[in-house]
Amino acid sequence: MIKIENITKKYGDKIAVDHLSLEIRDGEIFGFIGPNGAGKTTTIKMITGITGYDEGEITLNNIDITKHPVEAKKTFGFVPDSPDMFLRLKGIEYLNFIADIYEVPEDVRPERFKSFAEKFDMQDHLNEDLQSYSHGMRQKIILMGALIHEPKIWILDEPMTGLDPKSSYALKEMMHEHASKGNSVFFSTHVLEVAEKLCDRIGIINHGKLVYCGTMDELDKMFPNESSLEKIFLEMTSGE
Amino acid sequence: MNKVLLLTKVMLKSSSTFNNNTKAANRKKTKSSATGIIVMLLVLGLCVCVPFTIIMSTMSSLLAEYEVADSLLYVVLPVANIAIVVISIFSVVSTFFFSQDNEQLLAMPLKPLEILLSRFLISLLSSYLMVFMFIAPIFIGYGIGMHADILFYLIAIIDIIMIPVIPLALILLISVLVFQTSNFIKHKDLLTYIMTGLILIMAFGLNIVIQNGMRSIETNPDAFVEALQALRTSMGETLVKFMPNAFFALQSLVGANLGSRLIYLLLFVVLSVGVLALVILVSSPIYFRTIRGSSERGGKTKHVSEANVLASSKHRSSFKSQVITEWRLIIRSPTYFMNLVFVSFIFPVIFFISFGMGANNGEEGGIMSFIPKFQASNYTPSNALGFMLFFAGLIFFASMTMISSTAISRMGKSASFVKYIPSSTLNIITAKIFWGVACSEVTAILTMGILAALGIVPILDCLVLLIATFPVFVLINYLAIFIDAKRPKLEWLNETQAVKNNTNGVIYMFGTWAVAIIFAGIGFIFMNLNVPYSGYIVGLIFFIIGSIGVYFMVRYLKKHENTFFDRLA
Repeated sequence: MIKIENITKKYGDKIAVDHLSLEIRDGEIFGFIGPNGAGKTTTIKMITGITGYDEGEITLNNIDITKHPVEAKKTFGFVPDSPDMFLRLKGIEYLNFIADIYEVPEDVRPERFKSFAEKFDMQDHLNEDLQSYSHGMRQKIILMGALIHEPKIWILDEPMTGLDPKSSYALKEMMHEHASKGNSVFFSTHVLEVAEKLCDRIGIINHGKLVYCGTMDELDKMFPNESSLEKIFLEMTSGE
Repeated sequence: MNKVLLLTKVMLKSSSTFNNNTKAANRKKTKSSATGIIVMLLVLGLCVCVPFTIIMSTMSSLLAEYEVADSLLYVVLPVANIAIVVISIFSVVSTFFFSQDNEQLLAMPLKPLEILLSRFLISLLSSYLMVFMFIAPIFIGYGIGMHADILFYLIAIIDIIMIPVIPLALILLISVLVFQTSNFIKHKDLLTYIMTGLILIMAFGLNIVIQNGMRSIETNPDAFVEALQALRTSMGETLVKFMPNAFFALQSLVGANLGSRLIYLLLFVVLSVGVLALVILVSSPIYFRTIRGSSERGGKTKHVSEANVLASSKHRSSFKSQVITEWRLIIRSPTYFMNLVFVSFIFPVIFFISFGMGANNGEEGGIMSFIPKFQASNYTPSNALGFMLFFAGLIFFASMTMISSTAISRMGKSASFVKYIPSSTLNIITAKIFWGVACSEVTAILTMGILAALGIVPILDCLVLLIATFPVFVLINYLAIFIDAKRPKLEWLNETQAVKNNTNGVIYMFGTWAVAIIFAGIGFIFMNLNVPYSGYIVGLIFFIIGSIGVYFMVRYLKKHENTFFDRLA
């Protein structure tokens, strides 16, 4: 469970996130959508401990990210918006490195590596340098690394970017499976169709403020005349 | 032309040496800190330039008595041309061919000429730092020594601006032709090793030439004057044939009369601009073909077997894994390996060879006669004075290792990784400085090992020095990464920029010297200590002070667990 209570983040005079409160429950897939610069990535950075905040409190499975950062960070797997990292490592070395950091036991690693590699079609590429990977392959290896320690909470910043249809489908299935086991998935996306079909609840952020949080059904009831999420989204995020 | 200037401006912004932080929130702060850094570098630069100018002025005055003062410029100008080639080859090739933005530029409606010119301007501006540091003081020193008029300085300014043009143009021409006719551009790593090897050989050669020149002055001034006179004649002939640009620049400064000086200046400018235009014209049609596909890599698929997976799935502690990964990332990048690791080892070797040559020629009986004289002096490490000198020397060598001072910058845009992994800041930082400390220690062991093997310093003294320096190495590496974490250079277009255009390395180097001076200051208190083995007492004190410093650094990192990496958000 992720609990965000009244957080505010300021960059100088500019308020990037304004008194945002949100709760991502256990067993839930939560989609976070918003226009560019609305505060999605900043919110994700605050949840993961990359950025501090000026007011409020964030807890992950009841562990405060500021007070107990190391313990809190063990509870989630994170996929950042850019997969260009550790490019001089081989795929298998990267996975082992991440497994070491998250203290994944030695005996379970081969099975997990194999299972993820099959799901994401990466069996033939684990022995290659990350710098020889395409953008999509880098995204896949970062995803595999983020999930290797079987975290309770998944935090994914635009995880579908660059993924081929098979991997995208596999990831969506994995998200469903993960949530069905009572875990949480929090992800940001610009693909409204994905949010619409995949999420139990969605949050829409605009100008740093949460303008909607709820299920798709509740949203439909709020806007009975609009036929799609796209139109609702455009209406909610258009200039005030 | 507008596009060239626009491109140059954008490229400068994205690769600026002083642009060590890019977050909007920090921009204001960064501007003021960048100004501070520029001022500091200027002050430090002046500390190097002013003494250099004074030496050149004194030498010119002395040589003027023998009417051979201009011989200095006969030597300096060709050496400057070669030095520019040696020092700039890496950055020019990286800027033109290995920049990450090449693919974006290829897709834009830009002419090769526009990209080439803007890249050339970037290389030219980068080279001025070196020109102003080393060539300007020579011209100014000569001008002061020879009581030159204002025109001399005006011509010197134009010469200084134009001097790097031809060397840089030639590097561009040669590299374009090499990449066009070979497959080298796709073997960037191999190419980096070859280039670094060439640079080292050329730098070493230059060092030997300079050493030989210096020895001639020390051993026989009259012969040196004669040699200078002969050199001036022969060099003049050589320059006309092989480096007409240097000859024209030289004559514009020391020519017989004002008219001829102005004509030579005009010739120099016309030749420089002409060569540049020719190189750009020749390179333009083939430049796009050379950079197209430069980022492609071999497409060999290496299947990983189950046995491989099992073998590589060995569990390590988080700290150990971070240390190993750090090493892999350094040694697998030739740019990092050569600039961060190899340089720190080769520096003492070059130093010892130069020292050995000097001692062999300067002392009757060669280096072996030097040893007993040294051992009878106060300069052995068992004496406080000697200990401080050796200690300062080892710290100086350690300051050449930029592993820790660029550790955060080298992570580039993925630097936020250190903020979301479940590892303490102390662990992350210590893993990152591990190889910086190790390299400093290996360099120290290598240095003291050579001295012990030659019988110059007793083994016990070497051991005391190595033990005393260890906590200080740890401390200065913590300080190095502290500098880098507080002003990281995360935006870079190639690995060379991450380390070579990173002012943190220079700040660290000067900072380390400051630390050495502080320690020397502490040591001076004990210099007149009239007890045997005063050097060991100083060593013990240094060890204790260094350890206390490390203790406080660790405490600081623990206390600032949440805020230490604030600049990486």
